[in-house]
Amino acid sequence: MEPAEFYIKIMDKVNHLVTWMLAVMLGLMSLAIFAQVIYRYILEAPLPWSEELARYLMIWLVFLGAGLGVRAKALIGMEALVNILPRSVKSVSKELVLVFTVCFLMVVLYYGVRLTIMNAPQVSPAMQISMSWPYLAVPAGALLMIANVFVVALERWKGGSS
Amino acid sequence: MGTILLTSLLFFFLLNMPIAFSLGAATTVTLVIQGQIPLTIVAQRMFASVDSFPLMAIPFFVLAGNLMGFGGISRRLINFATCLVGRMTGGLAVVTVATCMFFAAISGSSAATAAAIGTILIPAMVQYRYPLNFAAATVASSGELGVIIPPSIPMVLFGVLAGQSIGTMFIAGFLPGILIGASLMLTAYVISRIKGNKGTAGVSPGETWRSFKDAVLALLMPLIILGGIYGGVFTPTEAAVVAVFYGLVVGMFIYREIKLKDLKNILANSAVTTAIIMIIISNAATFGWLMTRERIPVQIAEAFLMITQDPLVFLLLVNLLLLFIGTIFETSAALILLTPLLFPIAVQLGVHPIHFGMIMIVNLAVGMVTPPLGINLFVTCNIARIRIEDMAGYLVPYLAVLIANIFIITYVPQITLWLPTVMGMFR
Repeated sequence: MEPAEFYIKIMDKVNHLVTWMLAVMLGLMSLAIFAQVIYRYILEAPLPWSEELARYLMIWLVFLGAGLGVRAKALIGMEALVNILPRSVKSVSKELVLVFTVCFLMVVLYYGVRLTIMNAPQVSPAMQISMSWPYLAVPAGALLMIANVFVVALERWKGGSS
Repeated sequence: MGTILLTSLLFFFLLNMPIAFSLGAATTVTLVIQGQIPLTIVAQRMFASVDSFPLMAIPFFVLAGNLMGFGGISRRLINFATCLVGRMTGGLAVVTVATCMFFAAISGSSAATAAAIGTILIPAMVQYRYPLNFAAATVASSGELGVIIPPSIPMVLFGVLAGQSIGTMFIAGFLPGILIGASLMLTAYVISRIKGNKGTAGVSPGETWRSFKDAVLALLMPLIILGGIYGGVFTPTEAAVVAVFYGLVVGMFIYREIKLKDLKNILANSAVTTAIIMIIISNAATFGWLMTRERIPVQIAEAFLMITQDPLVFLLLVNLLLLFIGTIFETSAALILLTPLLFPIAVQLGVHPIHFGMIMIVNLAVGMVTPPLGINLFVTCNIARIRIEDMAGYLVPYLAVLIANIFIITYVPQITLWLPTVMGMFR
């Protein structure tokens, strides 16, 4: 399974990079809103862009972070319910979940791209940047989630039944 | 359409698909079968539901809690609590509850509270010959105070969903939190009495004073958060970011336990924790949007009002429903789906909006301590290296007390409403 190992290795690098991006984004969000507090209450000169910047960063943080959540198997399901399924269904439930999850995320990816393109002419109220920038978080996150769904699946197939 | 929506959701849940994706996929399937609305709406709603300034309090409260936890706050709070109540019978069990109360005033999440306190106190209790399962059950059940004593992530979410003031919700959470904390301490005391668990050695007043001075910076944090919101100085989101910088300064420059190189991991971990909560919010809100569009809340409201017009009976039904939903459902998802269903009926029957929010939160908080899907149980089992079944025996008395608290808080609205009223928060 040489290609599989290569893929997982590449994704480890990507995820490492995303981890850094998330740390920087949360740091920037905190600085932006802290600056907003300082400017409004101490300097009495409200910042026009801080809230918008922090909101868009948070959207990126949520969608990319969910990608890492998939890798860490931290997105929980209804663990207990699967036990009431008949054994035969239970044995394939993980593969079914894989198929359905990827189908759903493909929908989010495809329509996320369309949304990003559709909103390109729109400009954000405060920072006057193209609305494509915040919307791009949706397809980017969906892509990372799909990529990591396969990492988890590959590891499961390699490691046997569990 | 409603049938397809709910059946497909149940189908994905049965397969153990992650809750976030189950909600999103059920919405997508329904829209495909219905074939009227372009699927762009799925991506659009997922985006719009997290494009919210009030919800930004979530990442900041998560980060503030992690900074305080990493910065050695939990250890100092535990020392202080041990000096105060450690010498009682069942000292360390009572200390666990007391420390969870303190920590809850910094953290907005029950899992984070259980993790921060459990990592230190479960081994400590075992060392003092407390049964391991008793220690784990105590941490798991007192961890729920994390979402009841402000700040609280579910309260932020309820405020946004029901259009209520998050600051008022926070203030309202104080007395219910103290009531639940006090009754859990009593339970821990009684169990220890039966099991014969002695307290720790007594300490001198001087030592208590030193431990207080050591912990005072942590104890001040809730005052800054709540004082700022109450005084109208900050929005809850801004208060949360002030808490972040307070935690950073205390952890890095006063306690000196956070090094510059630790920051990246603290930030990244907080970001992923936030994302895991908010991707559920994002998908649940999309699901909730379609549910509302299909007029399901109106139908459920009509059905509810056919059964009863009596607010007391209604609240009883709500409690039973929420307790049940809480056991199998993730808290944020449950809030997003149930608030639009139940809140309008409650208000129509004359239940105070803030009181109703508190009822929802104390109910769903108990769901975090009940199997099968109890996040606090997962956290503590992980720390104590036991299975949920192992601690079941000790969990039962705690759960009975927590449920009794729900009914007291439900039927004595003053516990929730008195403090915000005297503070003049209702106009």
